[in-house]
Amino acid sequence: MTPLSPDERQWYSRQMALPEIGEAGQARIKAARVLVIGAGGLGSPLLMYLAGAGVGTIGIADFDCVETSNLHRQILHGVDRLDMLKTESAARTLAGLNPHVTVRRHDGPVNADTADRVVAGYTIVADGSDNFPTRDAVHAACLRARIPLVSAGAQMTSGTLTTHKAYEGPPHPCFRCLYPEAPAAGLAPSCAEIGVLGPAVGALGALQATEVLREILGIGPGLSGTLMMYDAWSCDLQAVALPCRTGCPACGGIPQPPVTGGNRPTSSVADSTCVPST
Amino acid sequence: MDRPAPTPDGPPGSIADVAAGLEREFAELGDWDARIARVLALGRALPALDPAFRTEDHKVKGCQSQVWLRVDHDPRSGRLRLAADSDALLMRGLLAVVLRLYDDRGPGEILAHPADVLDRLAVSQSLAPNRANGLHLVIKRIHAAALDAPGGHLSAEGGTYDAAQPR
Ligand SMILES: [Zn+2]
Repeated sequence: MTPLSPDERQWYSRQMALPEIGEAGQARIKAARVLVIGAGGLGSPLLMYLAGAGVGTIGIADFDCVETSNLHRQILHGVDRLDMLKTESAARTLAGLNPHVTVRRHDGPVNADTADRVVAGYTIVADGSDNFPTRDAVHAACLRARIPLVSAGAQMTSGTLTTHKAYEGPPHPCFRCLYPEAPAAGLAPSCAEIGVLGPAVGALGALQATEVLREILGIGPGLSGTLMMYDAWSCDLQAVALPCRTGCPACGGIPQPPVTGGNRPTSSVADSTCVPST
Repeated sequence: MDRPAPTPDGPPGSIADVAAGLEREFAELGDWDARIARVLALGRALPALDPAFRTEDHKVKGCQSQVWLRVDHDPRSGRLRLAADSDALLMRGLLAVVLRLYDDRGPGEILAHPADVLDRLAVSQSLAPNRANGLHLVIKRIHAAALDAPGGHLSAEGGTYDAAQPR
């Protein structure tokens, strides 16, 4: 781990003053490599807080360009960035926030063909994308590469947040335990057609950034197995147990190391019944 | 900006020829960065729509960006003339592709051509997967105008038709 420079110690002094962080925690944050999928409504506060916190390497994946209908919620971007690739605009904003972080751009869509290549080398992935195929592909790639995935989704004035580490086996649920069926094309409205409240998405993005920092620092049990549900109009945040789904084809087939103890080693999870973790 | 003068014989080749050419053109560009750069360049080159036609009537609703489409039936050639614009450069580039396919074509030819090339470019080539919906709405408007135009099959009236006019 690269030690902190005197400049960095000064830069992060208010953050390092937190007992859970300190110099050791700050060094861990600096050593972390976090990939953010989507430089939009969730990705904006997420990327800005991660850069501010001093995450050493930050990846940004997006395929779209900035347009005026983004600006009420995508605070990474501004009127001087219209029609610019969001990755480029985001990289500029982050560079302006904190020169100590390295930003890597991944221009283009993340899908089943590209996800493995994009997530490779990152220690944590945070998904703030707005469509099912991307989320599914990112999750599958993280599962294969054994990378924790902090996943948030927002619609209109509410949203959800959880962490997936299904590579650790049950009771850690995967994305497909939560969404067994892909929505039929055309059924799932994208942000293009439905309303969305900027600060509601922003709150979820900020919560997501906090979860990424908790994962880096190992603070608390994390959100694997817990689905947080936020509603802006009622200012309500609820934790719901997210069970591993028995027979889930996405994570049920992951070979687990034999569990010793008891009478027999268990080498397969195919017949195990997942219990909800809290 | 002035609209291009109608050509006596319409654009060379069929819509399918143009579609195949577009697919070749984008496939040859190799990586995503080059392809998206081409779309943005097409967007920059697209003539702006006369602001007089940037009206609610001409707006294609449901798109992420603002999109305006003007469709005129040219009674002399019997073909539809299209003009389109958007406030987003990326969408302008995609509209330029739509115009290359369908501008100055007869209603029958437009209706006979499936628009799946746009899906292949936008979604399969990953140029703008989230714009596929908007493109479909644009194509729907063009098809509706083709249906209403003489030589489409519903209306036999002459004169200039405008898909954006509420009926
Ligand atoms: Zn599962």
